[in-house]
Amino acid sequence: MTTLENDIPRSSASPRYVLGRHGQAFSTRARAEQIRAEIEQLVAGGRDVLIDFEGVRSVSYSFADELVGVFASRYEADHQALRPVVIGLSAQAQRVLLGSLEQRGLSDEVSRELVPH
Amino acid sequence: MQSVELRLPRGAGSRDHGYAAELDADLRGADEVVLDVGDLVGLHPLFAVRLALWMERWRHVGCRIEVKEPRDEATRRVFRAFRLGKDIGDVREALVENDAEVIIRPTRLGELTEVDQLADKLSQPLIDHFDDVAVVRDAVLMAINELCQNAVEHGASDAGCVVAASRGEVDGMSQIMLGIGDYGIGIPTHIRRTHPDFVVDEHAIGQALEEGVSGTRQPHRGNGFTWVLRETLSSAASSAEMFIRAGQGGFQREIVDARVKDDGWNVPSTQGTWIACDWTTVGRPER
Repeated sequence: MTTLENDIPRSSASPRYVLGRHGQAFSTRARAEQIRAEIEQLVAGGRDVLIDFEGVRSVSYSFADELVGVFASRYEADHQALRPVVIGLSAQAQRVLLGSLEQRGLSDEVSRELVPH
Repeated sequence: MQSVELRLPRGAGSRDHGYAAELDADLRGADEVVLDVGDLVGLHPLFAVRLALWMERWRHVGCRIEVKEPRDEATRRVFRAFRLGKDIGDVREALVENDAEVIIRPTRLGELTEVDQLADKLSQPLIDHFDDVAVVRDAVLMAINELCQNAVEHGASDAGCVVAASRGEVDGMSQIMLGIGDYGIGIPTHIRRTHPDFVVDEHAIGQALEEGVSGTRQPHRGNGFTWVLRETLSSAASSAEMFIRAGQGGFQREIVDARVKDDGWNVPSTQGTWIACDWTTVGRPER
C-alpha cells in the first residue's frame, strides 16, 4: 500500500519551487527550460525537489513536458538524478502532466511517485 | 498615382473561416488601395487576423490603405472592436475588456515570451467574463499556447504570428472562435523537413495533426495539435472545428459528439499558415 509518506520527497528539508509565484498560466518550452534551470540552481546538487503548482490555472502540454517530463525521464533513467515531486495540481494540470509522462513511456510507478494521484 | 479598388463579397468575413482570395491579389505598384468591405456580414477572427496582416504588409511598402467599413451594423461593431483600422497591437493591449463579442483584438506575438504573457493575461478573464467561454477555457488556452508557439518557433517569419478571438451565437448556442495567422513558411514546408514523403500539402497538414509528427528532429515533439484535440474532448464543447490553410492545402477537423472527422483538399496557393478553431458550447451567451 502506498502511504502519503512514500509520495513526498524523502527529506523534509527538500526545497520547494512555487510555480504560482511566477504566473497563473505557462505556455512555452522556452519558459519551462528557464524554470528548470532555476530549479536545478535551487536544488544545488541535492536529490529531491517539490514543484508546487498551487495557484497555477493553466499549463500547456509543451510547458509541462519540458519542465516535468524532462526531469522525469532523467529520473527514470537514473534514480540518482534529481527527483521532482509535483504537488498542488489543478485537474487540468494533472491531466496534462500525466499525459506527458504517458507519452514519454514512463512507468506507472514513476508517474505515481512524481505526480501523486 | 495608381489606385486599386478591392471589393470583398458578402460572405468573405465568415465563409471558409474568413478566407478571401481577393486578399491574395498582387498589388505591387499600387500607391493606394481602397478596400471595400461594405458588404460583409459576419466576421471571423481569422478574417480579422488576415485583414490586419494584409493592411500592415501593404502599408510597409508605402501603399496607402483606405477601408470602407461594413454597412451591416453588427459586423461594423465587431470590425471596430477588432480595431481593424489601426496597426496590429502587442500583447499589452490584447484583451478587449468591455465587448460582448471580441475577446482578443489582432495581436502580434513576435517572441515566445509573449505567448506566455498572453496566456497569463487571459487565464482569469476567460473565467470571469463569460460562462460560455469558461467551459472551453482549457481548450482555448491550449490552442493559443501550442499553435502560437508553433508559429513563432517554426514559422520563420520576422512578423511572428497574429492571434485574435471572439464569441458569437449559432442556433442559440455560444461559439468561441479563434484565429491565428502568419506569413511564415507554412506547415507543409516545415513538416517536410523531417517527412519529405508528405508531398501533398493537405496530406502534410493532416499528418502534422497526428501524435508525434514534428518538423523538428527533437524527441517528444509534435504533440501540440493532439493536445488541442484532447483538451477539446475534455471540455464541455458540444462540437468543435479546426480549419487550417497553408501552401496549397486546406484541412478541416470536426469534432461532433466526441467523434473526430478529418477532411483535406487542394486550394489555391497562399503564403503562411492560417488556423481557425471554433468551439460551440452547451451554454447560452448571457447578454
